[in-house]
Amino acid sequence: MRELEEQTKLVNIVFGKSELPEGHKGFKVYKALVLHRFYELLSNAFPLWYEEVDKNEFKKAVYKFMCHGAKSDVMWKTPNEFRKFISESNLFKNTAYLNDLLWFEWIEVKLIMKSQHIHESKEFSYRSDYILSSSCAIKKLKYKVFERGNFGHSGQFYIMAYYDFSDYEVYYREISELMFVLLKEAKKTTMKKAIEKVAQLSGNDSKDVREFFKDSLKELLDLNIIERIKYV
Amino acid sequence: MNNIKGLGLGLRRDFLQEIDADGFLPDWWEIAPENWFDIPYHHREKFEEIISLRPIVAHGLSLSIGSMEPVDMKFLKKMKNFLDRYDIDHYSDHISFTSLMGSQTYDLLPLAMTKKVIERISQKAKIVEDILQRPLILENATYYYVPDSDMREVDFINELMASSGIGLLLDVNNIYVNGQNHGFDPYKFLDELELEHAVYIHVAGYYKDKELGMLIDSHGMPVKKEVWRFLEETLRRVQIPVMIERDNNIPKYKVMQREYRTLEKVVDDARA
Repeated sequence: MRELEEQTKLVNIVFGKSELPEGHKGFKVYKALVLHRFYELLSNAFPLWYEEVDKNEFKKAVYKFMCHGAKSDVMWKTPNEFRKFISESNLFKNTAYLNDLLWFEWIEVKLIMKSQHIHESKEFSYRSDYILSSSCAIKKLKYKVFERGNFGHSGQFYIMAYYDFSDYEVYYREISELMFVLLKEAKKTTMKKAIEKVAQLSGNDSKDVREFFKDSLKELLDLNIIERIKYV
Repeated sequence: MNNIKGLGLGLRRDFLQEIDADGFLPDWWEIAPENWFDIPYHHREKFEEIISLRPIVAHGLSLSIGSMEPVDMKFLKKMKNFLDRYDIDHYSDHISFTSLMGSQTYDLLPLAMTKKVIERISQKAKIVEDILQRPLILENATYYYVPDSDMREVDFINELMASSGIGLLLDVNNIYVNGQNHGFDPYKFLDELELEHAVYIHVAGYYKDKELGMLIDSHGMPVKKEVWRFLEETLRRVQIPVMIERDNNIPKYKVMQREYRTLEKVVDDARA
């Protein structure tokens, strides 16, 4: 069907799969417009990486991603697709910290852009149970990508990113391994079960673990990082 | 179109927080629904306050009605949920395609102007209307080259509207830009366009790409004098709502307010 052929031809040209025909102004305009959309979106989503990446290499990666295919009908989710694409590709393999850096930058976009809800605030109590809120994300990083100028520094870093409902910003905090395990379990199950798990892993009594985390969990509740489970 | 009257403005996140509910408000708002499927916490309260004060129309970007592929049902269901949630009666998109084989381009790409494309859009429009339970409106788009076509644009639009029953979102800037880029007279185009299908009007800005020698429909500039003049002529022929569309390089709300005042004057002059 010639109509489909026409559309395929144009898309192949704008994605860089086919050569731009010499002197064709229309194709040139569309190629520039589509590239501009992707380039602007992705360079804005990953400003730390964009600051240091070779711009030609970045542009090539954008074209490869366009060929691979962006699926989301809402543009703000596209940087996450790009992040996964880079991770699964052979691109930038010499930048060992890139996966961590792209997660670090993407999570800020995600926590700001997704619909968030502030939760009912009641004083923290172990009589209630809690889960990790969707306004928070945790990650074990291999590189210190949260410290500018030190991205290549390797180790084990446990990071919590959360949306602050009072000033509408995303904040990052380096947390202990124990807190990381607790929150990771709380994300999968509930805080009560998470405390049992941490007690088991650390060889401590559950009561001691509860006491140890009590003040921290109070603060996390105040920040909406954990939310009380409402039983119907 | 029965719930909007007068003049509208595109509601953009960039100036949302500058809007005073007790201050200047247009007669109605147009929103790009895909940009509000997810509403950042920071904007939700304000958005819901502002849209509760005036009628709303939704002008989408991702329907890709002209692609030679099936309608994306998942997308349509998301759209319906959004339109229902905010009680929006009127939904439009563009006579173009934006995705192919599941890959998004995030831009409006041109269609071959053929009977086959008319047939395809008409079939897809029925599905869209069935799912959304609303009439579909489509905007005449800009194109920077003419894909392998059998028809002139004006004939293509007239036949599409007549055969599908779709409403036309008449973008006067796009007619002007296409006229300049493809060497036709926009006023003659208007003479031939069957305006009874037009539901409401868009007016927007363009810029000239000196290297290519083409006008680019950027939606990122103030409306040009020649487009105001063309709008005035259009408004002498058709009495429908009209709005300013600005999607890029978005200025302060007070700047949009000034442009809205210019629009008021143009409309008053045309309808005097």
